[in-house]
Amino acid sequence: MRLAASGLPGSATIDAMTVVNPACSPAGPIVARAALLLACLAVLAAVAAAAPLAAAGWPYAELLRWPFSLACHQLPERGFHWLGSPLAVCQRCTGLYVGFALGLAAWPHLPASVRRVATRPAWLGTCLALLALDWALPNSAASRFATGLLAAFPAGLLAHSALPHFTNKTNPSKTDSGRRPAWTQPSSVQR
Amino acid sequence: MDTAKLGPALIGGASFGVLANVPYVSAVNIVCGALFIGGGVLASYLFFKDREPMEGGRAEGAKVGCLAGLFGGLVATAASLLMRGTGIGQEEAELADALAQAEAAGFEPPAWVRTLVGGDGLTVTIAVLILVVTIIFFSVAATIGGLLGAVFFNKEDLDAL
Repeated sequence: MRLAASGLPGSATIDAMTVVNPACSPAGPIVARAALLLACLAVLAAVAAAAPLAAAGWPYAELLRWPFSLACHQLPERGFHWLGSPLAVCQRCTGLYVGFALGLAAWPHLPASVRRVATRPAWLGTCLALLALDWALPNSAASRFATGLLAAFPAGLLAHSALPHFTNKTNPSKTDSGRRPAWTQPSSVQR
Repeated sequence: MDTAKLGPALIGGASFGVLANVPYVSAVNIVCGALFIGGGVLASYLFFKDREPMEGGRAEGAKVGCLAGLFGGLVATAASLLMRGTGIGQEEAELADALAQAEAAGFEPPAWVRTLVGGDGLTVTIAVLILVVTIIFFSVAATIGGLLGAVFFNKEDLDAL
């Protein structure tokens, strides 16, 4: 369905889905990205908060750690410490969470060429292989954090690149005329 | 709901949901939720394997991964509760330990915490809590797995990024 956009400068039609679907409008991805970033920051805050809360003697700090135990071993000797208490996840998982949030936050500020390279399967595979290698070989706190961060950074980039397509049932990146809508082009959406 | 995603999501989610409760195999999950992510990757692979490359495939991969996470969370929780009902499983013991630490520190826990971690065995509250937390973690991780799977299994033109 196409609507006539009389009175608007330039192209005469607007894809109806772009109008009714907020995630497909120029503001949609921005709002979705902001929401995703906020969620990432909330998770990071929860990861970090467990340590000072435990150090302060808050008795439920352990309960705050519990949900993260589903996906992390939480060994104190493998975690960063803050005020003498370990964070809620290990160093590698901390790197993964930070890397994902950084990838999400960095996307609009990266040159298109960097984005293309960072989201190539080969690059992604290399980063994941480094993570696996670090896990299998003798490692240090810095290497665990760095390989985690490196592996999750492209995933954050990918998550951002998928946002404009997320709630669109048809091919979202092309208008009926076969051209990509302006807001999906790097110069407009990622600035 | 897109029925084309249901099959792959069910297979990916259910298989890894069961694996997440198999002794020893479940230990893989402590490697940053690898089993949860794997469920999303498998669902993404099954979704894309007989399809032509599609534009916007990363979002489709994320959707099928998220769906796999929902199914996986349900299956994993059901399997976990079943095992706890038979005396296997440790989450409840971990929660009880946490409460014991709190009490040892001289803190009187509120009633809702006692209900949550009550010593009367499995309660509805604790079952719901485990269900919610598992579904959230499984869904987020499987969504990322689906996203990663889309990169590898859907040969999308990344120059369009």
